[in-house]
Amino acid sequence: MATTKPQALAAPAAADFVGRAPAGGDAGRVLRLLPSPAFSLWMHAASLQVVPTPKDLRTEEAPAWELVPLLSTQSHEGGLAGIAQMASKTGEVNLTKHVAVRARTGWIPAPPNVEVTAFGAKEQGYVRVFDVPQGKLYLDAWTRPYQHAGGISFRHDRVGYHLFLRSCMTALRSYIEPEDLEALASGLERLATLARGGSRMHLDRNRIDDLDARVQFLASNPLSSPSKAA
Amino acid sequence: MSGMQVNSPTGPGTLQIGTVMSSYLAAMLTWDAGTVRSHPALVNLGPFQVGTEAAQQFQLSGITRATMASYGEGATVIEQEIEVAKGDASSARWALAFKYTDELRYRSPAMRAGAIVNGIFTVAQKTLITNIASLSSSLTGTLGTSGAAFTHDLFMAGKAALEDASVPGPVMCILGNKQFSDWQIDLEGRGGLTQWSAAAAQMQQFMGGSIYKGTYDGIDVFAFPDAPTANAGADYLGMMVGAGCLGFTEEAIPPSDLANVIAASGPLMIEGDREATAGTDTVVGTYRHGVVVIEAARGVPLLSRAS
Repeated sequence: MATTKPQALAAPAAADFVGRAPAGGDAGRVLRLLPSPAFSLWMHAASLQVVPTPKDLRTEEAPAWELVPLLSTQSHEGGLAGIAQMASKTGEVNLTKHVAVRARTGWIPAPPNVEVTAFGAKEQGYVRVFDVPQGKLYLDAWTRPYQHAGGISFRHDRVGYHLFLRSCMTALRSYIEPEDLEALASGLERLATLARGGSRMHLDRNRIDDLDARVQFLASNPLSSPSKAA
Repeated sequence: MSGMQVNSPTGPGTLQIGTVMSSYLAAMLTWDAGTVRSHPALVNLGPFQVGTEAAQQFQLSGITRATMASYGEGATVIEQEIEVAKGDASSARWALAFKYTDELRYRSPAMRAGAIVNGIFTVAQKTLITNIASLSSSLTGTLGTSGAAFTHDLFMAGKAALEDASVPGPVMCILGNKQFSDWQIDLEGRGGLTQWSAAAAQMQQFMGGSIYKGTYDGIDVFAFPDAPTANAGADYLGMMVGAGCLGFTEEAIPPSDLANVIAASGPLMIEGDREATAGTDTVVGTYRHGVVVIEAARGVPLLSRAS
């Protein structure tokens, strides 16, 4: 019952103190995980992977395999990959060198402004932050923790992540066209060869077929057509 | 994480720890096989110079990659450009604090400063290997496929990639726990030469909490759960690196005049705080260090499923 008028307070009798139920422990509401640093995702023309298209995204004409970047996670913690700690009271880290070091070796930041969907909903960006007892936990938007009596499990949104990888591939190709897939193909081929000749008792036929299919997909020159990302 | 344990002093108080513990720390930072710090594949870029900025610069040159050519008498030798590169390693403050009340200290043997100092030392080691491992995503030329189990083939492909690139040894391999257990399972079903090799038998040994799992074909294998992940947590991104691929630097800042130092061993300093008004003690460990990729072509990331 909302009212804007201040109400006159009647002095309660001693017996009127009823208290309230305690709020209870917040153990269930506090995410019991250790903190992790903020991070950004980076991509590189020589860091690609061939992944199967998730079932939900597969249509008749879409290929079963796709060429997407293998993203690099760069922690924004001082002391890693050229990140210096600023000599200041704020404890801020200086990311200038980190960006320079990354750029010098051909890394490009994953596009910050593409549409991110995770678990069927639109996200502000690819990083989500959680409050945990000792600080903050940064996770990517496609990983979601579930806390239950036995511990914490994570669920992953493969479809949303795959869509993001597609956008990254489009962005990467607008910067630099990955021209040589030979290194990637030869790596997979080497694996297939080893799998074929190496294990005599435990020959995993599916796995070899899988690798062969990827090599074959790379041989079909997947870069000849523009990226499929919307 | 580390295999070795420090004997906790039995007496109360911190004076004894101050004298005994620092010598233990100095020894353990360099000797313990459970840490990657002393592994020869990692380049110790050395301590920071006093008064320089917070980055350690290193220079690389490719002089020895050149070859001589045959020239006729009197012919002018064509000069070659020297391939040079420069890198920076920045150090930063990594720290951990434990606070406990007087009663907890009195009732619980775990709350003795000695036990906490030992724990902080282990955590410092773990922090270094976690940071070293996090560099795997800065290397390119990944082997392996997303969602698939780690196999012996993947290990051999990594080794072949380093051999083909003439990467100098010794070589170390840092994996996620799941990658290592998948590899163990694959090795179990192997036939032929692999089945009867001593190295395969060594990999099958249960090593428990130790990060060092043994040596396979001259490659030292480390595995631990905090290895970096890829593909939104679906995969582990381990790596195999030769000498000169990765480096680290450490910085020892002398303790403050006002400090209550429990142990100071170079970059690792452990201090105590006594807050009499609250009746609490705090033990703070600070390990100043930084890690960096020196030459990315000397390593190869190994991708496989994380769960």
